[in-house]
Amino acid sequence: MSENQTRFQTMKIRVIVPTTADEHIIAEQEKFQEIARSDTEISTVGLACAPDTVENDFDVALSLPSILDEVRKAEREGMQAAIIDCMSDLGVQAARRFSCIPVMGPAEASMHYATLLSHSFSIIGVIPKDRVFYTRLLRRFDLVDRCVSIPVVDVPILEILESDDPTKLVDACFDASLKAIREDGAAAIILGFAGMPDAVSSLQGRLADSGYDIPVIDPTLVTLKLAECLVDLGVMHND
Amino acid sequence: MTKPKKTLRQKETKLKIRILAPCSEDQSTLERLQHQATLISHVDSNPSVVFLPEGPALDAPVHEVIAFLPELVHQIQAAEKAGADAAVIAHYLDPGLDAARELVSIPVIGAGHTTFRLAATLARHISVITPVRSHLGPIEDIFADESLLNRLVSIKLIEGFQKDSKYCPRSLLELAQEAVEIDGARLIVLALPDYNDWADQVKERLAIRGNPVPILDPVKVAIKHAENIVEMGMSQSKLTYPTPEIRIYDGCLDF
Repeated sequence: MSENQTRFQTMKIRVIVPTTADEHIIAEQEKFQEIARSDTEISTVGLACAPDTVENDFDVALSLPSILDEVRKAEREGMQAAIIDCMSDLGVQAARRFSCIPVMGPAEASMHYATLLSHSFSIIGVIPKDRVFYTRLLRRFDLVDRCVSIPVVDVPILEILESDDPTKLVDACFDASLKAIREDGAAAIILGFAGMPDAVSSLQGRLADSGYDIPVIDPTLVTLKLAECLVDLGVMHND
Repeated sequence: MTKPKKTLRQKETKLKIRILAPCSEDQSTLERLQHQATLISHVDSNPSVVFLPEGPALDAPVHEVIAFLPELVHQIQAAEKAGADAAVIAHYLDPGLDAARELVSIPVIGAGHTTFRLAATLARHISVITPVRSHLGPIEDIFADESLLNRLVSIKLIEGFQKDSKYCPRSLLELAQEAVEIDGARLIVLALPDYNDWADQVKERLAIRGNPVPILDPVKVAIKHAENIVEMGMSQSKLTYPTPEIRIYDGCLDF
């Protein structure tokens, strides 16, 4: 990466949202562009052929081919990084096998920042299967000893995302976080859902009011920031 | 619902990143470090460099650097008081990192931990190259702290390293090649104490030889992470780094 490229040119990042729902894709475009740097341009795409959400390994299998197609397309269209916007880091490892641009997933990016800022963290899941997804990833990233728990909150996450009122979600995450801090020893919290910045800052504020000034990791935010970082540094994965 | 305490940083304001070089100042080191910081910082960022008055040499062994830890931590506190948004400890051994993180609220980023962690997200097999024999053990200690020893395939020592050389030493290029071809490294960290910007040259040389691997420069990685963490409104966990009680004693700096 040259000096001029770093400082003056627009950085192009493609966000691949593993869903076919147009309204969700548009919402993600707005959320990512809102948090992107002034010199970063976000373009968001969904999948042509996939389930609405990814909740189990069967959904993963059905979504993967379309996701990899979108990564190839992002490369062809001159993107400098691709983000697969799914907390199970769906297809990230597979895409890195062939891709010539950095491919990022929210779980890995979240765990990276949680590890940099604390000695231990908990991940709050939203469905029981999340425990399986995260445990696999923790093993892969050599972070099993840093994650002290994966509590799952029992809230209808899709309804909340659509209603745009995160109160019920924040209440549930607050209770789960307090338990993770007091009983499990968590010193940072990763939220296992993306795209609710108000929920993240509200939860962080409530925890601070309770005496726990700790990082609450917003997966959407950290993934974009790590992608920008890799492009600036001119490096990518090599496995 | 509680009103959010932290919000994303406003894009209109420049990030103030204080880069602390834990060594005594000299003009050529200052120029190199400022050059690196300017190269890598983004358009919304304004990095500034400070040194330790009467500090150690950059390639000093760890026990000599330890003598300056109180001053180093004091400098980071001064950065916070002066309005810095984040501080970077520009040394791959992260002297004073944990202490500084306890003392201040702004994010403090250590070049070593941050780079080795990032390396582990990018590749399974990592090699580190350094010219300082006494730093071999401490580098390995950081990998052990991070539970990353199984990713570390080698720490290679550059013999006869000239600190102020204008040209990338041949020995560095050869060691990088050896790290990839013999040790199996898929990523190389340049743990060089003099802030020379040789990552691109090493990367190009390896690519020409058919070994295109990422090369990480710890100071650049740390600056990028500092920018990111400030932009995200985050800082180190106060459960991991609780604010210490300041006890006064003879000779104590004014914390």
